[in-house]
Amino acid sequence: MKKGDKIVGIVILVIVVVSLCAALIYKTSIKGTEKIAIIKSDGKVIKTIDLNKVVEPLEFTIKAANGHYNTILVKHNAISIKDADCLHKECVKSGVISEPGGIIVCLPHKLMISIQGNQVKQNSGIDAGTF
Amino acid sequence: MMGTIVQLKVYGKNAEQATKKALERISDIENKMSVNIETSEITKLNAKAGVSGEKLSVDTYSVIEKAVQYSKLTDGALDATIEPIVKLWGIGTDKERIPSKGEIEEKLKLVDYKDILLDKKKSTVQLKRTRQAIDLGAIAKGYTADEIKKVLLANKISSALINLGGNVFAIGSKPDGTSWNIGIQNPLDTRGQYIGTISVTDKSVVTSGNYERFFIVDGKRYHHIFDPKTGYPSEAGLISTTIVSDKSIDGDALSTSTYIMGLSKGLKLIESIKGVDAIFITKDKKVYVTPGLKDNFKMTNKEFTYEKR
Repeated sequence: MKKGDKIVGIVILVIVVVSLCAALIYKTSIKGTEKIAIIKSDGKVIKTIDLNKVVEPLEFTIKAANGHYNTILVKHNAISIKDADCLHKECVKSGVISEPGGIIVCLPHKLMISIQGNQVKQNSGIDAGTF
Repeated sequence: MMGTIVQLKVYGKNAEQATKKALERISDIENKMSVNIETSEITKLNAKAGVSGEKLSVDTYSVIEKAVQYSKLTDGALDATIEPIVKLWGIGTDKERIPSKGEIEEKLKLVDYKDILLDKKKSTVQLKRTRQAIDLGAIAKGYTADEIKKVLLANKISSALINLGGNVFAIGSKPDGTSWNIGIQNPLDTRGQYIGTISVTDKSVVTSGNYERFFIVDGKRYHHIFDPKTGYPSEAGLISTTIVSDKSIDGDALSTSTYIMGLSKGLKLIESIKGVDAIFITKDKKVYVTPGLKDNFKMTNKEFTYEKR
């Protein structure tokens, strides 16, 4: 973080799940070497994984409060949702995320995976995308 | 507004407080306008169709009023009374299916924005005939983005990025003073893959496409942007329309309506409105950009061809 940043700004990033359906992979222009995957269920952090330290692929299933599930696949520097029993499987379609700023959301199951890292801004990066 | 993810990046000392206020405003608007909330003003209005009017908040009234204005401007390409058709197809729900021709014809009779009776003095709206219903899906997100902007500015925020389910609103410039770079979704690729970028300050960027909500039967794709004249998903030759404007409600309404109007009518409409620009992508991968964006839009995907105008 640059010196000026502290004075200029507290940066707040909020993701709110308004209601049902769909999922999203969202890349912001953040890059770094440290890659911590944070898995949240219904807004609460249930697991954090340092993707940089993952050597052997790892698979596990997270059950939502309503009995539904998402199967998560973790590899070195990468995380994805491999399977889920939601209607459109948008979270599975979101594919693999591997960079800080990447997000996968399964709205029906209130599950969110995001990657955090050293927040170094890319000058040439894209700040947001339409869809 | 069902099924959207809201992402706010707010910069400044007062960011936390401002964000909290903005989120409150979002749920306030959703509670008033969602067709999926039983106590919303829209649900109540729809229930009284053909019987009596419903007294509305300034928010809901102004959005319906704006929808009617756009219906007139676009000769009915945008029509808030499309709800019976939206419900019949059920795209994005567990009831999605291809309705029969007869069913569509039946419901299509209910679609007519001229049956929205506005009474500004009393702030009431009535639907003329029973079983008619309003869905503000094509424009409520835009209104919400405009309102979030107001809340943030009132809370001394001068730099922020709103992403409301793909509708982007860039407020001010980045904290370092440079413009925001906004990626335009590649309609033929997965989310997050862009055909190009534009750089903006204080602008709304809204894209409508056939790739967000759809289902496929026998290889044919049925998407969620319905043509109020046919009752079927619009097939006017465009697969993506992006509108750059000062107000997001305009961008939201125009991206949907130009999608339905098609390339030549759409371009003509946008070029007739001051301060509004567009990027249109056709089925055959041609990209059309209005003059105001010509020097700004940077194409990064070589599969598409850039058509100079």
